[in-house]
Amino acid sequence: MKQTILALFFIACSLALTAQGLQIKGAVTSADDGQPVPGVSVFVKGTTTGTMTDMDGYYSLGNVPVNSTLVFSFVGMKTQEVVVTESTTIDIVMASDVELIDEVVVVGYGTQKKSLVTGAIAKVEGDDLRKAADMRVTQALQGKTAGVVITANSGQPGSQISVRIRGTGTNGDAEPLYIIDGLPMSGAGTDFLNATDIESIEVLKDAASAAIYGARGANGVVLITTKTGKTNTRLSVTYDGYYGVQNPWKKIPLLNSSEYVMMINEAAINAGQSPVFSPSQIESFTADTDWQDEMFSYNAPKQSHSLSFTGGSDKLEYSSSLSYFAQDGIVAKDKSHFDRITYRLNATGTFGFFKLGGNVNLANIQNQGIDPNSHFGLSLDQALNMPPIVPVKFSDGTWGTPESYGLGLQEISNPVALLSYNNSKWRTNKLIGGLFGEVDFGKFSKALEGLTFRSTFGGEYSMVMNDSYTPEYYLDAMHFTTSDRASKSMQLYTRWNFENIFTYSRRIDVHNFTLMAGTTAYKDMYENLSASKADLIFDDFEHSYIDNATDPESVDAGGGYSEHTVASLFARLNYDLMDRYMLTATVRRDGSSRFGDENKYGIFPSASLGWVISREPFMANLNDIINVLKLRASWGQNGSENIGDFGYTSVIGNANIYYFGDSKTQYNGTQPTRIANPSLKWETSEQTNFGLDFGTLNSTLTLTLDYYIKTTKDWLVVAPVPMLVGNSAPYINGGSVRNSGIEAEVSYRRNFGKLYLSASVNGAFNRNEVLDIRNTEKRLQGGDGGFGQSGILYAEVGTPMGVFYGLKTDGIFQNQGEIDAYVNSDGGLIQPSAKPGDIRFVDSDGNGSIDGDADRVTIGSPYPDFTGGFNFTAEMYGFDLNMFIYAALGQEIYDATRRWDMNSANYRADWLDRWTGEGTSNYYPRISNVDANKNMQTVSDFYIHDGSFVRLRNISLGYSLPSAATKFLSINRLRIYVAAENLMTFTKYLGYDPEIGGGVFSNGIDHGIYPQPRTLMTGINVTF
Amino acid sequence: MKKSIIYSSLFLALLMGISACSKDFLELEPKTGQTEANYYKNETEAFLAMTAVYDAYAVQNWVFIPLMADIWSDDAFCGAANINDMSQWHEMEMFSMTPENNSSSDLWNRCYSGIYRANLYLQKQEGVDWKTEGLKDRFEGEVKFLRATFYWDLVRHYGFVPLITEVLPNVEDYKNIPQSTPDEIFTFMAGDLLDALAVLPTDIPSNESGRISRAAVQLLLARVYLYHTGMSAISGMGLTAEQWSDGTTTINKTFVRNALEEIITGQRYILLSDYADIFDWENQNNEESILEIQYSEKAKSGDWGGWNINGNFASLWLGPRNPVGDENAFPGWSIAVPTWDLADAFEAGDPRKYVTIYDADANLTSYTKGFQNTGMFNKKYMASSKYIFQGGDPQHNFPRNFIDMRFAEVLLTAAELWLTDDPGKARDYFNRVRTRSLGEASAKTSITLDDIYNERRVEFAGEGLRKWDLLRRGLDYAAAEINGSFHYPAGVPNPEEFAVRTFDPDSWGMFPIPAGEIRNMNAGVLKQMVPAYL
Repeated sequence: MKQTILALFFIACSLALTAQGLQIKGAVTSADDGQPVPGVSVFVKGTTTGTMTDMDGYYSLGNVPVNSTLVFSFVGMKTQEVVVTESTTIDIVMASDVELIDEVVVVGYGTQKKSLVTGAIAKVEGDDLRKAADMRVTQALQGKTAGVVITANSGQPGSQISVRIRGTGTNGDAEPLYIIDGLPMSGAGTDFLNATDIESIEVLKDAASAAIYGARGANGVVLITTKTGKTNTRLSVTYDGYYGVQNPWKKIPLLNSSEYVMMINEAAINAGQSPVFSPSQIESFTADTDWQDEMFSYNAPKQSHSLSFTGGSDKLEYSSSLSYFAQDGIVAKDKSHFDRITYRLNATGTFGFFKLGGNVNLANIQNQGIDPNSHFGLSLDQALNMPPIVPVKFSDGTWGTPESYGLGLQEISNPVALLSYNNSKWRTNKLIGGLFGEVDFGKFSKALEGLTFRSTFGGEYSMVMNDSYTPEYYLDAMHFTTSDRASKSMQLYTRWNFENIFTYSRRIDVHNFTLMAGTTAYKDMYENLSASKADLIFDDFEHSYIDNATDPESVDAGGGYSEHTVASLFARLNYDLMDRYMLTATVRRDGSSRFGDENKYGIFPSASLGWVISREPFMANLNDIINVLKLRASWGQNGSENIGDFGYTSVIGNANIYYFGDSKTQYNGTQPTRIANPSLKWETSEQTNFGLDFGTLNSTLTLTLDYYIKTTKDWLVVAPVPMLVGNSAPYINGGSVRNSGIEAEVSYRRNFGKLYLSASVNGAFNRNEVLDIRNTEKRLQGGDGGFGQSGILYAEVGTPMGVFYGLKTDGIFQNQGEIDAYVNSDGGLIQPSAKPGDIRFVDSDGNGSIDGDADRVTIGSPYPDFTGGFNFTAEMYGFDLNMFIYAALGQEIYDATRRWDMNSANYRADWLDRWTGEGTSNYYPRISNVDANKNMQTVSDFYIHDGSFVRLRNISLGYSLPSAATKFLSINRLRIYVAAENLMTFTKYLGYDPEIGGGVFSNGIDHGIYPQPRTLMTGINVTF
Repeated sequence: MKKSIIYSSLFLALLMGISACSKDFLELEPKTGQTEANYYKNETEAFLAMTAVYDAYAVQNWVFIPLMADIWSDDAFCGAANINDMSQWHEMEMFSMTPENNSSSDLWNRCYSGIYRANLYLQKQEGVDWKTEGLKDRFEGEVKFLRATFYWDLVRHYGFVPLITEVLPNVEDYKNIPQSTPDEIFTFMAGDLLDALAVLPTDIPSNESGRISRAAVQLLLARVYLYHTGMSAISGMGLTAEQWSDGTTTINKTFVRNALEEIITGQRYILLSDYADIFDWENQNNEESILEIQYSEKAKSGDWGGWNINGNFASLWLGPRNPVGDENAFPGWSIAVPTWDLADAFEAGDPRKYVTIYDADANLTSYTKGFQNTGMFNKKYMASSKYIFQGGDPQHNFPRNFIDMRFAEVLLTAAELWLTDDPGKARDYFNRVRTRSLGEASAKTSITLDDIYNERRVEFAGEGLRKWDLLRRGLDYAAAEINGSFHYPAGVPNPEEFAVRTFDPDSWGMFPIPAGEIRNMNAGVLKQMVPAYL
């Protein structure tokens, strides 16, 4: 598909010809496999006369003067030149270009030859993405490129993922900017994309590459290019489909009924209380419920079917597809799924000097879900905390609850019952499309050759609807309703982006330059409406419409609107001398509605240099050994305006409700919603990058190395102001953070006779360090652990951005003597409330007592030290084996799965190793209903666990029919395969899944995460 | 064709060049909500801005003072599901609050939010186009009264707090405001209360119930006076008895007594003949009530965060867990459960006892027994299933006003103030309250301070006054009463839950300054000043 761009270029050259010279024809085949090569450009050197080979590799070109030179070129192959003599048939065998770097990569507002790229841009081919069966194409990027850390927020179908390019550079929204065929989007907005529609994804990692996106590129930019057709190709129809079943890959060992009863009674007795359960009660317990089994949905199906059409005539190219994707969740049967239907059409026509194109995407998504990682809501955590003595249902058909056993468990109750009351579904309809026109001025005048103008208008119109129905029920004191209720909400997202770009490319002698300048205007709008009403005439979800609700007093409605605009001017110069010395410089000026008059506009410059040493004459005799050697250096600035609208000003809110009068008339009191900060400006990220590309052994072995330092300044942060200010804190530009790291990618690909092997390894180390926090305490804190455990993640100068913060523990007091010996300098007990079996906390500040915050220190980090991926492919006799392993090492997890504040919550089975007397445990404390030592309430490293993992994300074995068979069947290609996702995960972590994504202050906290499923599937790819 | 495309593309480029620079495109005004600069222009907007100050007065935000005060006193145990549930309140009961206690910061937050709204109102009122005669004065009086209540809550919970009297231009300016002495805070409150006293009306029409009246100012003056006088015995507080003043007017015993006399002789308020009627959910804003915090289901609140709860959230907290057998009992959280000490304080036959205390064992066939279960619950305010409404979360939409001030307190406070100077008058006021419930035969011929204290205890039980009465009589007195309340009858299944907690006199009944606030101020600006938290 990379030839498309070149093809477009050469098509433009093959204009009407005058009838003189020879008619030359011939076939182009590949030296590798002898197969015909379609799409090779053939032109007469020094003229615009040219054509392309057809599907079968044939070409025909008239008016070729004798003694002229024909040039055959094709991306990925060595360009050949043949002098035309008398012969009218010229067959060419083209060899692969071992210098693979002549690939074309998409850069912002254009494309560039990879060999000339001076920034750090990673490219992932659409074909690579198709090997993983992810709903979100961005998830398939995991481990594909160094320095891009992708973490699933949960395993729930449709769940968002967190993408961090070169570390977390802000305390706010650290997600990159997505540009899908030119239209800016958020990561959440990429859910309409079907993986088989993707041509390529480019990740702009360094600032110089991303600087062209100015105020929005600080967290990196992900450019997604969808497939287009090809001119002069016949219609090709492809079907890709798979079907699989998903299962949880881990069940957590929990206490069974008898163990539970024993432990709960023990905790009471240890607190000096009488046992919770009497012997006669214990005898009456018949249930031993496995709540995990009740919550899990085994053999949940996942399937995808897509049908795509591509092709083109000499003037028109098109690509269209229809897809269906459906995935059921492995938790909460029937209440967790994601179904999507997409349709897309992409067409471009060339009419002489004018090119017109457009694309339309339609998507319909239906999904349902539960709380993926919550210890309060309806989540898997319920199963971990539910007492096993409670049956799902009693023999009379009523639900079993903790309350029916006299156990107070607050938010924890029968999850099966809660699921049955939970009726909520989301429906999303998206229309995303655009139109562009491009004028090639070179077609009018030789003097204007190389000058093009392109105008693109793109937009999105998405409607998200949520319907829910809550029946009238009473489960227990915390879970009940007094009437049934229908609720509906509608959210309308509208955005448009209008860009106009001039590009001027010129080669003068050995000087090659491209100038690009343009403008964009962008606007997004959000509008919502929600309503609910109680007391329905029908009592089911199917009839959950507001009009069926009868209680006029119960109406609840709301709605609002917000909008955001960005206007920009930008320019870029690409220059190279003899394809050896490269310079790129960009500048962008952005204006955003999100900032006040003082700082409405920001200017973002960048510059980068490259030197292809291997093309130097002095390297010529080393070229057999060193095929490619290139050095790159870049510097640039980017911004981020990822804050809400009107952050600089204060809007009057009217939620300060009070009542006056005997009839209690409601008045909506008003006050500013926050303190204003009119001088608010962008966050600025400044990054320096040094890179090296190296290729040897006929370029079968390539290495890319990058080193970067990225400093984000002027974070947009809601600075914690003293509460005595009396209103919500303003956004301020409050700090800076530095990410520095090394990224390496090594790949090896080679044919050994019939065996083709390809392996690549990428890995990255990132170091994240906060340089400044502009609040008084020089600290940011947030993140909830277990109940009442707040501020477990913090950042201060010198630490990474959000590390776990709590007390250090030093084992368990084995006896009273140890408690008495743990004294401060005055001889006073450091932990006077401790009893044998309690945790010994470290008095980190040495003040002689354990006093909450003062003794808290860094106890772990949710950020991996190292992330990497290993990709392996082997092909032989039509068989192909693909394997992809992802590793994230060195991060920690805060295990907040057990509701410590609820004495009767169930325990994980490893708690059976608790302290029960001297020498029984030096890790698990004694269990007690009265925890005067605050073993459990204290945020400490007791809750911190090693979260490193290595995961076999994907493995597949496929077989492609040999060409003899496909010819017989009149098809182009047929491949069948079996595959497994998440087949194996190696981790020491005891919880469901070590992969727990999230924001700066929710990262790595396990509240009973919805795990990634293990999927076994089988699929077929067929092209007609 | 060619030309038209070239021209139109050039035109487009030009157009975009202009629009990219165009300020109009980038200057958006919010479509939902006005900006601060365009607001505070007319009387309606001024009224709504004042309403926001009332909202801060009413908000419970997980720190409803009457409940916390009762737990701190000898009238209630903390209760809850278990000792880890609402641990910040268990710490209160165990006199082991630390600066990290959530309630300490939540209460601080609530008070200063109210002060901000009041200060903002007082600044913005100057720009309002006032049309109605006297309206500005009245609004200003109400706002100042409310600002005084926020400082009242601050000074009695923290002692030494920063005094903020205006909205400052830059948030950084707040970070250097040092703590004022209690005396300075009381002086400032006196100014606000005397200003309010000068302008607020004696009569509040029924369509304005909930607004501040002159009597409310007078009774608050009396409350603050009693506390100020009592706490002046603590040398570290730095207060001098009978020296509470705004700088010109001294609010001494005579001043307060006169103020209360005005209420009593004004006869706008009466004692309802049946004590139970005061707390009847159908009889709110009644003739005995001077000031009620207005709660309603109408806002259909559904936010558990606290600030947006507009019903009486405390009602949910007070009720028994999972009650079965009483159709009016609504499942609650069993918090601030009455002590046996309180139950024993009622004389035999006092009808107030079972208006105050809900006897779960007598009324219910079963319920889940929480921590420190005494089988008793605060009947005056606990949630009732009769008042469940649709919309929002029914659990925080109880339309039960909280009676902040009622006429009986005027009488008993006046009785206390006259006790030495006119014992007869004191006795008569005392007997008016006592005989209403216990009958004419119960009238006493002479009374002592202890009599008044006992009467106040049973009359106002569950209304959050007891803690302050204990403290103002002296820390030793408070300690004896509080420590003595940790007793339980024989046969209680979990006696260890009622183990004696020892009142820390060094706490002065106060909270530590929240640690987060100390961190967010400039280093060293805020300090713990109350001896227990040094």
